[in-house]
Amino acid sequence: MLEVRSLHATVNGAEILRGIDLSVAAGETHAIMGPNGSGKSTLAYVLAGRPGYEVLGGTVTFDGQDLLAMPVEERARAGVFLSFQHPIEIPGVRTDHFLRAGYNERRKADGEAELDVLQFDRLLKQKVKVVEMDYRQTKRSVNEGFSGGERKRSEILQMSILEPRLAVLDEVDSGLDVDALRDVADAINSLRSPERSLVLVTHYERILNHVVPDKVHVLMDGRFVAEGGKELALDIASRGYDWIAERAGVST
Amino acid sequence: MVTASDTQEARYLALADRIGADPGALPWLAALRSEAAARFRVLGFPIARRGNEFWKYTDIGPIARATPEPATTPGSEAPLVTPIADGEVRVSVVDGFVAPVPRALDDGYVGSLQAAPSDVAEVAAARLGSIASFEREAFAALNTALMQDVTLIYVRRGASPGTHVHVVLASSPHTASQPRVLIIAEEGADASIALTWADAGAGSFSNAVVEVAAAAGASVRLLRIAHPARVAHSVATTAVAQQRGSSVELFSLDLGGELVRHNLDVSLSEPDAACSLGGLYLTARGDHVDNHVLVAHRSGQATSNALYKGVAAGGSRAVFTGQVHVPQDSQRTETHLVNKNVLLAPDAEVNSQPMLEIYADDVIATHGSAVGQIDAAALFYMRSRGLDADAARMLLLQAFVDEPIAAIGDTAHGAAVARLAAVALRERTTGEG
Repeated sequence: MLEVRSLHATVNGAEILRGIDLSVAAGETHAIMGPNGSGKSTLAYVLAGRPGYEVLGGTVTFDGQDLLAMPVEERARAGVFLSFQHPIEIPGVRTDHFLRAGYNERRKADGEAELDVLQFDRLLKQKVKVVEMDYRQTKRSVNEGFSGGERKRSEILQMSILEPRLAVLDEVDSGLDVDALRDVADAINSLRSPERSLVLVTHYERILNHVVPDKVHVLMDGRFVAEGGKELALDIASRGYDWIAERAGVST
Repeated sequence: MVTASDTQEARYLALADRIGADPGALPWLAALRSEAAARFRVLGFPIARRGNEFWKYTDIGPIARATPEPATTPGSEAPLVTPIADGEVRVSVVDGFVAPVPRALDDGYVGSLQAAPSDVAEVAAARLGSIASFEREAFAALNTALMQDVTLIYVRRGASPGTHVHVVLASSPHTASQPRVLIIAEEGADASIALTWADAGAGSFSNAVVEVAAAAGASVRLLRIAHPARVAHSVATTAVAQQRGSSVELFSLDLGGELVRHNLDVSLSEPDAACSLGGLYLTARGDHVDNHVLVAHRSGQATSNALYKGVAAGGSRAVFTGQVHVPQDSQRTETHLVNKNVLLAPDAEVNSQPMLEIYADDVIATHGSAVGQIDAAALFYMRSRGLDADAARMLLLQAFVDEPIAAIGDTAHGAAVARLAAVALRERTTGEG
């Protein structure tokens, strides 16, 4: 589904990604782990197409399409979803209006009829239950005044509505207490399917105890330096990143 | 050297002489016009570019140099404009002349001052020219000197007609007109009025003066809509005088124009008077829109609230100047003045100047000004959910302008502004950036 080949990217002139190779098949869940500043979020943003993140070389194909050639919104309509580490506040734009606008764009792209306000509201009422989010919160401005946990629930709510084929979840566990983490993880698990791939970008292994990955990749200094299964995440939990850095000859 | 502005000034003054020589004119009106003409002769057009604070960001040279024909007869075509409220009383004013109004206003009067019943005309005579001072304002002096007809809206004491009054103003091509409107809400009266500047003909110049007298306990809602005057010039002066316990809500929607200036001058002369001033200006390429707001707290214990927002597209300029004056004796004043702007492109320009001059010490006052751009992070976030850039910009701008529109409340005025603003924003966001 997702094929990344020799990807190099810069942000503000600094080369952050230095040759990334990644294959994610349909239905697989991959974890990308790494210390702060290793390039995890940059990879997530490059996949989503954030302006200012410049690709110097390499290719990214999604379902055989050249993802890098597509504008941000086309990637979203094609089924790529990014859950933001720091979801953006949009004062004055109601969450439900925003969600319906995005949802209808996806449906238009798929050649389906758009949902009107009432139809969408029915869908929304079902979906908020999945993430244990208060329905009334969808009447408030996007992320405005939301707690860290509420923002992450809102991100997963958006994922569940947009039903992406590839979801990149950037630090989805940051800022969550134990209960919220479990709710969010349960919601993510309920969204796993043979057609949907997940890429979990995370510093800590915590979320991976709940959302068990098929593969774990360790990113340091813009390159993958180690790969393995879930046990690699457990190793990092007990030993930190230094031993991997040493073995790979990377300074952290 | 004779300059073009001398020539045009001379044409206006020649017309003032002709109007002054009309033997049929009411003596009080002739006296007022003659006084104003004398004042305009002294003031001339305020074309100076140095030390001219009042016109700092708007060069009226183009108005002084243009040579539209001063209107002496009404233009023929009444403009077509969507009603603001169901069953409204419509007044058409073309080139400053008021067309006959087919419907009467319960508990009051709407129409030309000349056709008003004598008791109403008497009240109007006492107020006309007393609110919009022409001592220092050349454009108010010019209007007063040349006004040949007055749109009068009069609501009797304690009356609340419940009928919306909609004055629609238009200018014929290459014509200079001086529309004059007088609104009088007597004690405890309630009035809801919209003034729409529509159909500005090419090369026209409209110099309007609107006077509003809100007597004790009166409540006036006034909406000004200025449709784009694309190859035309427009100066408008709205002067408001408020007495004890009166409430005036005034909203100004500017949709663009080559050279548009709106002077709003509110005087709170007695305690418990409250004014709420809202504004929204949406400029497109080639537009220059200047709003100049002056609130004078002449009495203590009065409140004023002003919120103006603007969205300036590339190649346009918007100006907001807000001045609130609270003299030493005006204790227990409350005033809030906020202006916020969004620039849609690097070559958009906004000048924002909110100023509080406060000499009293028992005052609650806030002011703020902001000029920014569409939040790039929010734009990316929205696009990452599938919205295209235009749609995302539209939602963000809609949210931005919702604040002053929401302050109008759920009224016919609020609905009209929301409708017109949405259309204008869609035009300005499509394809920008």
